[in-house]
Amino acid sequence: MEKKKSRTLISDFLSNTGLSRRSFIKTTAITGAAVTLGSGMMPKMKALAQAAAPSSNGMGKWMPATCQGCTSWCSVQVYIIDGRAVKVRGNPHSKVNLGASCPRAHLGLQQIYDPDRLKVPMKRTNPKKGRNEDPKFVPISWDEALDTIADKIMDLRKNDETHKYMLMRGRYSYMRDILYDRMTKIIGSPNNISHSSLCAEAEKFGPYYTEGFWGYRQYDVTNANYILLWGADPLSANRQVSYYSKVWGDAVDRATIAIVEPRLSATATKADEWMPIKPGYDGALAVAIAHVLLTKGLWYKPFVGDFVDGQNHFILGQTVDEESFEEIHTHGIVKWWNSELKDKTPEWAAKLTGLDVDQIERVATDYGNAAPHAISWVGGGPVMQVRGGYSSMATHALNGLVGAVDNKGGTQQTNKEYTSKFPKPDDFLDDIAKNGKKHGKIDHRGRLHFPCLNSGKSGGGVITNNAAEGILNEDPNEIKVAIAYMNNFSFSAPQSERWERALSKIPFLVHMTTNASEFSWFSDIILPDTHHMFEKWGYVKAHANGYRHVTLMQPIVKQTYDYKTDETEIPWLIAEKLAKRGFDNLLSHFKEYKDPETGKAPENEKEFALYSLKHATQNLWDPAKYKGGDKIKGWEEFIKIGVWNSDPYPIRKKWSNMKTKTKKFEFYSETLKEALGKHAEKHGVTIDEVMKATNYLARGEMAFVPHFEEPFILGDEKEYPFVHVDHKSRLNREGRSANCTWYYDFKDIDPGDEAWDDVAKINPIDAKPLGIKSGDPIKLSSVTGSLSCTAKLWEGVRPGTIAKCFGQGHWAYGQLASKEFGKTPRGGSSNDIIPAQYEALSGASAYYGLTRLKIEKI
Amino acid sequence: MKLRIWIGLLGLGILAGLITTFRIHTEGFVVYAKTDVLAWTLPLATYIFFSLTSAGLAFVSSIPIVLGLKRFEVIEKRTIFLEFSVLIGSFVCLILHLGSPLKVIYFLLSPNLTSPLWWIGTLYTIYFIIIVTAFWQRHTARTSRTLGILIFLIAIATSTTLGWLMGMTDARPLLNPSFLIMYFPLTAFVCGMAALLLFSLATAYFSNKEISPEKNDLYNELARIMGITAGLVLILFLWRSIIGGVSSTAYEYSTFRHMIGSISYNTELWLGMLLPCVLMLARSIRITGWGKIVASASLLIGMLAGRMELILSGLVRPLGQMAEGRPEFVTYMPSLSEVYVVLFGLSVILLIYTIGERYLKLEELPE
Amino acid sequence: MSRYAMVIDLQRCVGCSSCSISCRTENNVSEGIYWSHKRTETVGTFPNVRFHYLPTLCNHCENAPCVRGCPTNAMHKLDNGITMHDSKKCIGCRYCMINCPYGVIHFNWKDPHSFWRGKEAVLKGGTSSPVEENRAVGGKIMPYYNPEREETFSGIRPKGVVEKCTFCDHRVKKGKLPRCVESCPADARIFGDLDDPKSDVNKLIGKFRPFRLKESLGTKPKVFYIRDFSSASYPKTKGGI
Repeated sequence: MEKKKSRTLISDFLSNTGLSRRSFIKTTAITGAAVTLGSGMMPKMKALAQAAAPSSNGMGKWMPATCQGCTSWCSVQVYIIDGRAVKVRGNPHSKVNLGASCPRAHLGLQQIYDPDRLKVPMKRTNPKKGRNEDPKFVPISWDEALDTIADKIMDLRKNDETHKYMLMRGRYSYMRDILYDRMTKIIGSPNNISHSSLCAEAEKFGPYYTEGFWGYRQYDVTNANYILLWGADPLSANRQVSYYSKVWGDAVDRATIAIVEPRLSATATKADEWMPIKPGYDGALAVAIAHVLLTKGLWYKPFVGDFVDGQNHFILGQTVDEESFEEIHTHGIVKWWNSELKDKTPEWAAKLTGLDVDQIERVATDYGNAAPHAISWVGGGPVMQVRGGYSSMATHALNGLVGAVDNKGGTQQTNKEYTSKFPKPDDFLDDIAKNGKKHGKIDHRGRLHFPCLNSGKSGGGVITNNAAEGILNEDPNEIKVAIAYMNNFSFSAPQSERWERALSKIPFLVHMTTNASEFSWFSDIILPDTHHMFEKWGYVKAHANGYRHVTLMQPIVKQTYDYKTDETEIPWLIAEKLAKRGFDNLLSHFKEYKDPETGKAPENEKEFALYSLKHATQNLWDPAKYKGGDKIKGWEEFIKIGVWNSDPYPIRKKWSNMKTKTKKFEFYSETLKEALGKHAEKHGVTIDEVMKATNYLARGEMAFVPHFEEPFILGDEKEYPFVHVDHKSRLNREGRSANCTWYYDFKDIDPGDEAWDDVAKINPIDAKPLGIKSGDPIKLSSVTGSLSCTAKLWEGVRPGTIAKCFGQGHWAYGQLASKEFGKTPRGGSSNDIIPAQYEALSGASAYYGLTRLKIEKI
Repeated sequence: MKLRIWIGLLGLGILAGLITTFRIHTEGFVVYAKTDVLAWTLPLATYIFFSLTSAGLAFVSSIPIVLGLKRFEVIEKRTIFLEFSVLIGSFVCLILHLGSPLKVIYFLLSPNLTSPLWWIGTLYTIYFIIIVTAFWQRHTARTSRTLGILIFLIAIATSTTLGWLMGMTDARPLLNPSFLIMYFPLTAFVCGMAALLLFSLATAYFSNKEISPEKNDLYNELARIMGITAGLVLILFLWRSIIGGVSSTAYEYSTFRHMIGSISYNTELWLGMLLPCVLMLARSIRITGWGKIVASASLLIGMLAGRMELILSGLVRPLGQMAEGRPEFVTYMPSLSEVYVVLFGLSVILLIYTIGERYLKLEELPE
Repeated sequence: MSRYAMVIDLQRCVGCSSCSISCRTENNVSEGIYWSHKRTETVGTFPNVRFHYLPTLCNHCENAPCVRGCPTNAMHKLDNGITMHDSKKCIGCRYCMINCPYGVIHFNWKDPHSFWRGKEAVLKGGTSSPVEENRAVGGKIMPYYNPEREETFSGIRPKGVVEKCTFCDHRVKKGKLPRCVESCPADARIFGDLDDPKSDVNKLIGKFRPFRLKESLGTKPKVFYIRDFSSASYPKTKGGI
């Protein structure tokens, strides 16, 4: 009924195209006549019609900036009138985002001028901490705030317990190492905890253990003939949304686009094939596609190689002799076939995935036929799962089969860039610091259960969300003093309630933030931070379109209040205070960050912020140090353009030169075998025991090949009948858009969502038996928590699943973000229903295909 | 004493209206149940209702001159005065409908002759002047033939132009102009008769005055015409429902089917047409004072609902981008402030009428 | 003179609303009012479903019903074909809203930008109220106010009058593209002069068979749509019985 209505609505809107054609012809005839009459005025008009270049006759000036609304990190420009930011657009100088800007950059304006931004430092006056304890913050001076912080750090140093200091990082720029690394080390603590594993580490796991690349890939979509996306939604979220938005219309023309995702995402709306898979079964689909590619002989022979006799011996159910196949740039295809692929037919996958067998066959075949310009695009959905590590490998391995790795129209790594590191801290570590650093990390990385094999190293990666357990259990030690910046773990980390308790336990917690968030609520001192897009010196790197850019953040507006910058100014000021208390190592270290132009050492926090940036980017702007990419004449020109672009990406340079153990693309991962082996050895166990400890089912050789693992989903199916599907909004500036009116006014651009509401999308087939209608207030519960929101019946979601967007459900952050500040949330936060679970091999927090839900009407 | 209570009640109505006016000035139209979809609501419906009723009264008042039926002269003065009072009431509602009423000066400074709304404004201004003149003439001597005919013509002009106003918008075919230019004058006429009957009989009742037999005959005659006209309106109305709502397949007309179930539609049908028609065609009821009063009151209430129904028919289905995020049909329930506007207009009418009744000898026959 | 028109390429459009949000910043448009907007619909039944997005804005009709109906010429046509509004002459009758077949005209039911009129701060002494914030930044009603809008129109339209898209007449006048065109990340909007046979809009109109909204009404809109939002391919079939 409802469907019919909406269809007629639009058909009414587009009414009568038959008639319109006729009247249109009439119009064009008239237009023609007018044209001949009015041709005298043509030149000026032509100039306008083609006017792409901005003219300068406005009241303001376009200044370069960087948007960190998501991790696309687009270079943008901000229109400044009398020191006021008025509007935003993409920076045309960037070869990465090509002058395009996705919608979220505009919301930056409502962030910088958010009335709920902290304007002065504040301190807590209610000693009791908890969700229901009003902190009773009162304003204090910067001096008082910094003095208190310095005193607390000095106390730790006096008592030789600097390991009880902790630094938590959220949204950062590459100035991060000053605060995150150098300051933590010089104070003497091992505990610098980043947010990275809340982000996407499992997404990097597959590429690393196949092609030796721990990082985000760029996808050459304009040269691709097939784009197969796994839970990635590039038109809406992370990464390079602006760039992909710009070229998607061309990609659609050229390539067939298939998207595997239980929810009809923004990208799915424009795809040729939507594969609404059962959450957690992506690995099954990937190996079935691999099976088809091999049995049909569609693998890309110039990359993978071929059977010695030229015959295809990949026949259903039959093992193949390893010697019979000669590989070129890959390793272990036969082992993969024999151990995993030989029985994994589309029929087998159809049963598990709930997809149509013809569609699986068709997608696999068309994908293979498009080789080598056939992208398999690994997004977060299929891999940020408890057993997602091998899905990450399986989905990425398809790129290896079709030769799309490091290829035109395929998947590419990053270009070279030439920024430099900050001065080393080693000379400034005293004995207290050295002792402190020797302690174990609070997040338990590298323990048997948490291999966190970042770049092959056991304990190489962070396991952010587990730090809450470390703090709560004082394991390996208690945390006495913690500083955090631009993070909000008690909102952004799954099972956030654990963080509420953990943060309450820290005796002295400092939060640098723009808004008083759910994290600030538990803090003793909150410091007003600058806004990255308009008020701070910094830089970030990003890549797409075959280029990498280094884009600058600069203070380009008149700063309304005395905000200070988290990564540079505040550490400097703390260093000054520490020096006054007799500990000047940090300040002495910071004085090494000299202005590359004058050689002058910084004398205050402002100079420090500027010199450290100039130092880090000198190779890009100093012609004397030129190493490649854009040629820039000097610092002044650099800050005017705001972005440096690399040389174009050189394709196929990595074939047989990959950073894997075999230098080949590994279908049988010797690299993972070694990493797991080392981790097992460290703990004196077998690899099978590591598999068991990390909740994986694979044993023996299976641990080294991409394979399907039955998903690990929490909650009894009878009590919790639906599987949760979490997703991001194209307006989410990470979790920070919820205090912007535009966020709500335009929320319905996320397919299925509603303006000024927070909805859970339920398939009508599921909702009807429960008597749930669109607009009903509902409660969603998992085994670990619940949230309240509004029901929305929608055909774009797989029956048996409930899709809910992340971003709302703040109970602090601002007057709009929360229904009642400090008390009642507006909407529901996904992290209240997502349990704290991990893809332990990478350390990534699991978000998807993780928990079952029940719905109740309220 | 009775008069004081009456004036007190009217004073309350006017006070409610003035408070609403103040709130509109300070808070804006958020005090109304209006949205960008329901841009026209009860205040405008009431304006249309009053202005058409006034036109209808004009039809009645011009009977003696236009149709030469001299026996109707006994009610002429009261009718003209009623026209005037109801017109003022309609202006009150119109002013409280406009977002920036003070800028109506631009009607003069920047006229747009293609706009039916401009014509409405202009015609009603002329109408107002004519009525005032006519009443003055009638009060001092007798209405001139020219003026009587003019009143008749201007009433036709205003009621049909209102049909153009509502019907100009092609995108809302439910507001069918060819239907409206018939329907408006006809319903105006029937409302005019009802208003006259109601006011005359109520005045007589409250002032405990005996109604003269010849006047009583005249009222019965009017009541009969009213019953017949209500029947004609009913036929038009039913055909509109059948053609638009039942037999049409056009998507836009689905709104009709939606409206048929609505309160305003049914009030219009049952109270505005069927009941008065049946009551006034039954002689035994028609000749009673109460019969006429109930029938006229019912008709007027029904017709006010009818004006609302008409506007809603045109508006409840959001057009174009207004449909985004909205249901196929939006619902409307007047806010308290909107009801106050109706009471305001009504109180103004009644107050003016009461004053006229007391001081202006509305019973007076022409010399 | 010129006759401005816009072509919207639905295939390029990614449905992101950058047009609508950037329009807010250019024209100081209040919450709840959409000069630039959209029509969306979800068509089909799982798993055969797609979501469609059609950007909308004032069509700047050649035969504009809003202009015909406006009693005071507040709504009027410029020589370059733009349908323009004059807040000063607007009596707030909303007849244009009734007449517009496309629902693109909004009314200011209350003082615009109500969020920025708030007087509460969430943390006493530590944060500002919206009013204080605006005062500190030095904007007008809201801190990111764009004064360039005032050049041809009310900077912010007061309560009691209507407002709608003006094709950014103030920018066009200076040879700049309308803001939604400039800011579209997908280059889905193409703007130009119908009277210039060489303009890109004419090239596209001639290449495709564009459609316009509700053309049967004879309004002659100046916004043309080409190609499809979902241009998916499908396996060849004759169907079956």
